[in-house]
Amino acid sequence: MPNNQRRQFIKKILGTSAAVLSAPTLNAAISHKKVVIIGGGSGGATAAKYLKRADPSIEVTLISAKPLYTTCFMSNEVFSGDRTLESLQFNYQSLKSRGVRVVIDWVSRIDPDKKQVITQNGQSFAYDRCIVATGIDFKWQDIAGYSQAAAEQIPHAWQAGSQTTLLANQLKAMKDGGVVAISVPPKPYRCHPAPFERATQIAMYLKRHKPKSKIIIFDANTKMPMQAHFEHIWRKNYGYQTEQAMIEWRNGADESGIVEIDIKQKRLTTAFEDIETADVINLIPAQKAAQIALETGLTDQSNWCPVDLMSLESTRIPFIHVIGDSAKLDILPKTAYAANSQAKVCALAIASLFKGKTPDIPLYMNSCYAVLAKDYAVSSVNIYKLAKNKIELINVSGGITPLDSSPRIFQREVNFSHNWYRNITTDIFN
Amino acid sequence: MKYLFFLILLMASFCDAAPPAVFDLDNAALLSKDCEGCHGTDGVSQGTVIPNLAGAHRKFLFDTMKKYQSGKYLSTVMQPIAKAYTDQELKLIAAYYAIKSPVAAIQPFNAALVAQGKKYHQKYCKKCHGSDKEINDDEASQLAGQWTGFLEMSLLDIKKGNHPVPRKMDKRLKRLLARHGNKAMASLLAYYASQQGQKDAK
Repeated sequence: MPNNQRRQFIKKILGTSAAVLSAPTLNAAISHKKVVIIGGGSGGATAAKYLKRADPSIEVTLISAKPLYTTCFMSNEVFSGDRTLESLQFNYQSLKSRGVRVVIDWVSRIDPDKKQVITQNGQSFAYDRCIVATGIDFKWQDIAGYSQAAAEQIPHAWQAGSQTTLLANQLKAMKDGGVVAISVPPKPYRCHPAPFERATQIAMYLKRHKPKSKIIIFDANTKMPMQAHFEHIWRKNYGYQTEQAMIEWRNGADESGIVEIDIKQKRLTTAFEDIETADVINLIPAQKAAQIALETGLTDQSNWCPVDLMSLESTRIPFIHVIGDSAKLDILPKTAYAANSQAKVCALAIASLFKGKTPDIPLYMNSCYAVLAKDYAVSSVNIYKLAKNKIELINVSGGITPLDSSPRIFQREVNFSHNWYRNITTDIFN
Repeated sequence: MKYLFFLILLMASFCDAAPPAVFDLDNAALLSKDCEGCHGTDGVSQGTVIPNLAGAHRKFLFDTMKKYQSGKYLSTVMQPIAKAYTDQELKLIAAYYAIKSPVAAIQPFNAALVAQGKKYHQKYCKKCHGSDKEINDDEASQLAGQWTGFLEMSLLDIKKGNHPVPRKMDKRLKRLLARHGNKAMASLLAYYASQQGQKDAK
């Protein structure tokens, strides 16, 4: 059968089946299932969209703290000047038009016994299933002298928005010859290659506008992801490991993680008690699951939320699912793509469970890009399947752009990374 | 249609290597979900270098993944991705995108080249790649309404021997370039990009 006829034919069967099969559901007048999603980022927005796609009869409420979401992924390009903050911002109009009820409020409490979510403005939302997609929170106390209030002066910029603007403005205000310090927390944190991509994007800006300046990375870990690529570009463009190096990487081998800050003096102390002052400091604290997850009791001693791999339902509290950065999936990185992948697994599993069906065995993926120059980006992809015991993940396949690729390939990766951003954000928010 | 677990029956006949004629839509959707972060929801890309998958022929999609898997096609992420799936899973993914309605890319093109591009298409490409109102060969990719950036990239790979094509295509491509030069390519791309209407896209 020719392709177009075949398509017509399929549409016919689908149309008929849908009409016949959905009729009893409508007549039965059963109450609709309710899902309340907390968090409107990559995980939460994707889950809302894919729940509605899987079953439009599910009543989906998405509670987000802000009417506009700013993606942290791709936000490093703001520092080189290649991207505006506005280009990273998305609203919830499309989700609303899909029938998702969007509430702008801050969730103060989840009551697992009454199956209710309560907000700061005193609203309460009953759920059959709740999805916690609240991203990361910071372990402020791990750096003496740092706090949420101090972040208004010394930005982490690890949640995008005003923090991104603050850091970008400080870089613009810095004198030529200034020192920029970036502190990298111990793993696991959101997006492991990103601090190094950030250093590189800042270096792109400094080389153009303030070429005498310097960036020092204080890393609590001993290895960086995509290390060969970063070091290659740093050597090529920024005199890495020479006297005139614009980028210097001090790492865990020398106990270079930051443990203390003097905000007024802009003075940093490393674990080895080295002291360094800087003109602009980007202090990225150690991370944990969002506070609401801790307060609800969804976390274990690791401060992340253990979940069932078939549905992302919490193994600690039934009917609450945790997706994205807050979830504890060990070998799965904390990235937007992984959150998007988890959100779909979760949405499809919930739709199956509501139908009384056992969810199919899922798989998970991460795919992301780091942009290191106008003509050089590196991709990273990994696919994870469930082990036979269904409680462990196996990294079945993956890789990064080979170091010996041709210039044509590295240029292509830049084009792919920007196309990737357009498609992933459309998949999440539209 | 999403309410219930059911099987889709396709009446068309296929050879053994083709993706399944009967498949579980829910499972196929679950397997395909991770394609969409990069290729767009329902396989509709925002362009310009990541291709649309929606409505592509399932045998073409399956064969393409096998060629990425074996490394016959040059790629970065596509090889490790293709390696992660079993043949059975790849067939389900291919079947899933084959039943999606294609959506033509809305993109700029050089209008002055379209008429000439159409002539080249009819002479050199149409037999396998169909034309605006005809069908594609089972093994040929959809060109009408595909993103120009992606097609350009693929053509370059074909020229450099990084993306082997069937001999009949190789011969025609060489003949086209020998007779009309590189501008013929620009004309063809303009023609495919100009096909932005719903009917044209199919």
